[in-house]
Amino acid sequence: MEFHALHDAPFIFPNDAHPAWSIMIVLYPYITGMVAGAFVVSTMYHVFHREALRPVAHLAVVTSLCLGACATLPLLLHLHQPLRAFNVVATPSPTSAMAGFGFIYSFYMLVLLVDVWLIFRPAIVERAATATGAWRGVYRALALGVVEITPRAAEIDRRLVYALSVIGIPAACVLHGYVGFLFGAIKANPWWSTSMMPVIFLTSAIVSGIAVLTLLYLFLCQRSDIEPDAECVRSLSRLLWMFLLLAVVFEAIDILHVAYEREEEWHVIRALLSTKLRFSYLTLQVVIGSILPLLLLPLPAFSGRLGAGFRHSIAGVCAVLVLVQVAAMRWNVVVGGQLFSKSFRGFVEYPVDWFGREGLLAAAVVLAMPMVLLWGAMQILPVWPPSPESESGAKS
Amino acid sequence: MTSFNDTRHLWALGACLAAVGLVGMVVRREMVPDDFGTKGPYRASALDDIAAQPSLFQADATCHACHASVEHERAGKSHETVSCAHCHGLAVDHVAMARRGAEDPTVTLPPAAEWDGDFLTKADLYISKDRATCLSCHEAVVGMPADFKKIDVALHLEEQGASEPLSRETCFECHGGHDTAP
Repeated sequence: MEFHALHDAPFIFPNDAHPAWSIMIVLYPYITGMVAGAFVVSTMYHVFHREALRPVAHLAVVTSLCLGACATLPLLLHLHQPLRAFNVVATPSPTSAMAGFGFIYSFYMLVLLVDVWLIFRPAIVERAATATGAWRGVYRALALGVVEITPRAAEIDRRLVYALSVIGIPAACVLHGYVGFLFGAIKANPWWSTSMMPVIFLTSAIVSGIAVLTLLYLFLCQRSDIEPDAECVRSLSRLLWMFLLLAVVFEAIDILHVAYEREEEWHVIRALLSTKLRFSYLTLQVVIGSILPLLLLPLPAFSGRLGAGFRHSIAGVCAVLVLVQVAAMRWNVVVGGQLFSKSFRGFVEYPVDWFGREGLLAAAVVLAMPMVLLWGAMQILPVWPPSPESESGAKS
Repeated sequence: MTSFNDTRHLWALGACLAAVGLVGMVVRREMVPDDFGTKGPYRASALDDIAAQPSLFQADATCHACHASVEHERAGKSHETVSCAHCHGLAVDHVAMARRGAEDPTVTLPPAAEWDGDFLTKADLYISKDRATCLSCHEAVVGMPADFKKIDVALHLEEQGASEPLSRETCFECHGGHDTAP
């Protein structure tokens, strides 16, 4: 076996002994990816006029905002010191890849916040007029004190929503491409250091955004006893299939490139994939998360003969599988990249805890937080069910 | 024709954003240290702070001040340039206690512990006869200089006829730590 030299003579540099980036750093690009992906779906309607996506257009942009509001939560838990997590946003620096995040995140959240505000302004103004008690004050504050909409103001808002959605596309791409850049720019780690990394992160981000929206849409329809819009699910499935294909191709190109070149790092990467990441990479990411949904998604995406219920069930299952794929991909990148020493001659362990600030339980809470926020947003804004009036008000 | 009434909400939004931006700028100015970036992308005075920290690493000369026999034993041998700390730990407490002991005869120094097998050990002073310590330098790795004394462990032990090749202290059957000649 080729790995004998590796296993017989392991050597781990002292500063490689413990993986420093925990499951929280896995969650950070996972959630940020969904932020960017969900926003891209909303722009399909607001910018590219994909009418079929109308039922999820508002849901997408609010979901993106809720996910974005929680994107820094894993960093807060990981850094242990709240001021450190706050620092990266409060003291952005153009000379630091890490602190550049402050500019990118703030700009994107600003675009998203104003976008959501303008889209829902008609509803906010209407509720400011009809609500009673404390809620009236809340809606007046949300309307920033301006509780009337002239026809000309509505027209200006429509154009602004369009403009912000257009600006938001590169902003979303930069937000997640940047996360990929952070890993891709770490030249000492051959598992990370590739210029493909931003592209891989970006496509998988869009994939996870579409998947989470498909799931949310099907779940909300089920809960509200609404028949899911067949064209909407079909359109989401087509998008999901297309972007998943792209993501898988980019991921495959990257690994095939390394495998074919067989440079000095290949022996450790090969051992990593066949031992430490055997389950999370080969089984979860490749077979269950990529091949299976790529084979199944054409059913809801392209087939016209199957029953709607069956197609929607398959779409839901595929969305779950794709979310597993992206989570596994984030895990394999973040944790996998720390499981071997920079000596390329030894592996370390990453013990996963259930409890504690960076345990599985905390991770589950972090993942649930955006959904809690979304539920809160749905209580104060007409995010769901989709109403034809409010939709037409926001589209240019 | 666009009137003020049509854009009033945007002015309100602009005012809110300007206020947030202003607060952000003030916070940033307060939080970024004054000397950040004057010497590079870091706080320049951090260099002085780091320089002011007590040094943990003992020079070999500090050890030799008491352990003259070891200095003599290593003189001219392969391990003359290997730092004492590599096999015996940083010995910060040990040296501090020894200095106190030089003035106060009632101070007695505890004996060195056995190495616990952890290369990141927190033990202050230890003795290692574990082969892992020797092999951390002498196990043959691709790219080592041709004249460096490197071994293929199994082959070397077989060739030399080690009586207990599986023992952790097997290297010491033939070699010493200070004078390594077999």
